[in-house]
Amino acid sequence: MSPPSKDRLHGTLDALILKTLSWGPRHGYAIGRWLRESSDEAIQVEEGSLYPALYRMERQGWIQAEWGTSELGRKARFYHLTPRGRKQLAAETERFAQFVAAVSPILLPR
Amino acid sequence: MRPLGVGRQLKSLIWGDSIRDQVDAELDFHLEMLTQELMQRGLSRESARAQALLRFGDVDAVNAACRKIGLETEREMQRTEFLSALRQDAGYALRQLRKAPGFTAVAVLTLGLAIGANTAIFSAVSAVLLSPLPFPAADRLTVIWGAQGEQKQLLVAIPDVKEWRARNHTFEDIAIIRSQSVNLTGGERPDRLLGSFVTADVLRLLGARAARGRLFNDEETTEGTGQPVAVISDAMWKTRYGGDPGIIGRTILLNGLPHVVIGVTDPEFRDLYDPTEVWLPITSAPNPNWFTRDNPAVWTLGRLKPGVTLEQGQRDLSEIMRQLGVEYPASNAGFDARVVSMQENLVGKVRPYLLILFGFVGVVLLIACANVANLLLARSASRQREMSLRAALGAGRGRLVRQLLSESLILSAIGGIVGLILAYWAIQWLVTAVPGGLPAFGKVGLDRRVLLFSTAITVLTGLLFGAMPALYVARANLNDSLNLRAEGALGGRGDVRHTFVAIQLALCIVLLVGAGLLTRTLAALQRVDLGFNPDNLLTAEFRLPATKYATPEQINQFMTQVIASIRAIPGVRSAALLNAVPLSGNWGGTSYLLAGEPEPASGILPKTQFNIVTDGFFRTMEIPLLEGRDFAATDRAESEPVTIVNQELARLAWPNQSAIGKRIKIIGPPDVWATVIGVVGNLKQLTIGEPATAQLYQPKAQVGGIFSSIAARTAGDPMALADQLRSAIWSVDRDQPVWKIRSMQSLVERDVAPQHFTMKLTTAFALLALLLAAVGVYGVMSYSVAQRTREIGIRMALGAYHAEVVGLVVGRGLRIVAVATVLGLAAALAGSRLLRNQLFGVSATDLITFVTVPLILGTVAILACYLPARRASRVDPLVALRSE
Repeated sequence: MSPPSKDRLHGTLDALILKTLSWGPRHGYAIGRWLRESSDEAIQVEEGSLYPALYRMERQGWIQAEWGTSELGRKARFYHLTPRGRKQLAAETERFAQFVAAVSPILLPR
Repeated sequence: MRPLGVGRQLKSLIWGDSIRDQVDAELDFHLEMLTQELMQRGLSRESARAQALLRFGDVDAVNAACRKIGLETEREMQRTEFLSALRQDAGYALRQLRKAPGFTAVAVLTLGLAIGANTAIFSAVSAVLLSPLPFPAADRLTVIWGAQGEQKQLLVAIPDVKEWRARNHTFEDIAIIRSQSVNLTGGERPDRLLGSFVTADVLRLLGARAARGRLFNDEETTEGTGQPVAVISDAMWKTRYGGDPGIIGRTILLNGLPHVVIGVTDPEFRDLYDPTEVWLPITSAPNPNWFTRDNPAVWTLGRLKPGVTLEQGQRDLSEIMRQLGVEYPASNAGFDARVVSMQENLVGKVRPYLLILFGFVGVVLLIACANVANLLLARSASRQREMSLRAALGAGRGRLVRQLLSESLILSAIGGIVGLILAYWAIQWLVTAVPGGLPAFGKVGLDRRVLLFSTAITVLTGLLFGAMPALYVARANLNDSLNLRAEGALGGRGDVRHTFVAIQLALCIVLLVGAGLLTRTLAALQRVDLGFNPDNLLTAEFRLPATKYATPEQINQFMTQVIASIRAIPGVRSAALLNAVPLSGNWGGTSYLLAGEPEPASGILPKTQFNIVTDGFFRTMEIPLLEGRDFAATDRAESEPVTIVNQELARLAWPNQSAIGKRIKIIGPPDVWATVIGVVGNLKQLTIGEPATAQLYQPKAQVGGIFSSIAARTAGDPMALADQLRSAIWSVDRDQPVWKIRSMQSLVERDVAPQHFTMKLTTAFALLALLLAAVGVYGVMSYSVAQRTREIGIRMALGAYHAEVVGLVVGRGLRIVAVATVLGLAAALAGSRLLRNQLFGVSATDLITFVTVPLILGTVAILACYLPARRASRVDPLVALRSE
């Protein structure tokens, strides 16, 4: 099976980050840890690659960042969803559901 | 007050650094958190850090990627912020303008008129003076005229041109051209074509190409090998021959001789002057004397070699002419050549008029600028509180200045659009209204260059008139003015406004003086005694074909019959034939020698204009016969040669004596000794502005010639008899064309048309300037009256009379007018010198103009002061005292 296209990978990573932020503002490290833990360590991206994605999404206007104080009292950049980001998440989720609906009868026949 | 903009500016200066810091800090935080987490799992700090780095990936690459995206984001945000501020400014400005429709309308109209006038005049300047001529190597193309003494635009003799071609070192080519009408016969009715007799290289130099057939080759236009062939213009081919595809090879009768059409020119081809309809080889000349050295009959086109200057070409030809003067003293002594660039030759006459008009509209634009600046200043004073409020609410001073500038730029942009619309109409009018048409080889219209110019002056005026109010806001202490009354906060602004008004009035004086001098010039020209009566005078021209009228007897018989049949037309009171109708552009010149005087050692004889006329000429023209008698039927070819001289020639030749009976040698060919039988008044032959010139007349019966003009004094409108005139000619020879049937009055008008046109336009511009200046004075005075309502109220409450109040306000206005008048007259004195060459019968320092103009301006200015003053005097003291 050929690896998923870069676009799809990006799209998926974006969707996951947006999903993460949909429960409230987080800094980059927290986003990375949440991704890792909630997928049972199944998603093992290099954590650094998270940041260009965050900056890209900030540029798209899906998320916004503000400096704040972390739980340990250090200054950290906290990201939160914008209304546009929320829409983007909905669209990505919908697209993923359609993809799954289309593919599963073939790959997972009952 | 702390400038609010500085913080942001500072931040943007070090923006790159702040992004870098942000990314560094963010990635560092992540690594530190990861390290901590791993340490909690029991790793040492060092190995925890190492593993964190491993899990993180390439820190530098991530850092660089983030920084790049971050910078782009920032840049975009700045751009968006800037655009939205701009939109805000524009929207705010538009709202402000809409709130003050009176102010906006006056400002837009003022700017529109000024920008429109500038655009229209510039479109003419651009097409005439700035566009390259449509000829190959046009910058090296020249016209070479003959010159003698004061006369700089004479024809030259073909043998001389041959010597130029052989001896010069500076010209690639010198081509011969002679434009003359050509009789076309063999069709339904005889007709006259605009013809050019040329050597083959004329068409090559002008870049003509044949759309059909071919152009001449050199043999066909050279003496000895010349051929009866013709090239016709595209227009002639289409209109006269209906675009007949079989035109090539067809034979047509030109001046009575069969010529074979060998080519039709390209429709794109532009001729130098009036579009030629038919080109013939110079060898088809209607008169063999075109080729003799003593008869200058042609002019020439010369193309300089690359890198050769006009001056070098001029020196070269002058030297050859000097040599020829030595070699052929009889014909060439005193003759020179004059090399004129094609550009100068085509547009030289129009240039000063165009530049005058361009100068005028430029000044009008300055006045308009000052006007709008004053309007804006008045408004910004009343908007003082608004500005202060905005400043107090946190608008930076820079932002307020930008706000004001965007208001003025928007104002000028609207003015510019209105101006373009006005210019579009003005240009259409200009193209048709310019007498004789603009010598424009480019199209006169709103092309790219003109639009660029309009945009530039629009932006410049916006900045110029917007600068003043903006400067005031920048300087004013905005916090203070919140507490004080408006006029208190802006002391000194009134002085600036007065200065502006003074400048306006001064510039207005310059324009009024200029227009005044040109008006006086036209009046002087129209007052000039022409020496004849131009009313109810019909003129026309014809040329007999030399083939059909080969002998003097045949010509004489035709002339006699024609004049008789013209005199028989009902409504013609008297008529005569002459060679050159005054002010028609035709004229003749010759040298003379007085009996009993030796030939001058220099070989240069005195010159006189000459004209060949029939009896009845002086009576028909109403030229006074001062002494002696008119020509008579008894002055025949075989009788003793006689001549009539004008007063000027009589005065020059025989001062303090009677000219009657004196003998004078009229240099030919052939030379003729003639006896003076009469003295007549001087007349204006070439142009109304010419000084009294020696003139001499010979009887047609004794000189002959195939060319003639007609002058007929009519009882009523001369042009009503045009058809009868044609019929009278055709009753003698039904194949004989006649042309240029014009009234003398139209020739007189044509002669002063450039001055007339310039006078009309400059006067219109000067009056526009006066109107703008009057609006300016009125505006400033109204404003200052409004500001001083309290003061006026107090004075009136204390018992001042209406007249005193009026005097107070008007007196203040008068001071401004006085200063402006002194300044304006000084500037006009300096500026009017530029007009000197365009003036006639009036000096550049003409007293009447320089006295009348300040009077007119003063009257208008006082009126503009008086209206607000009168309003002030009607102020109810109680109301005034309550007013703020």
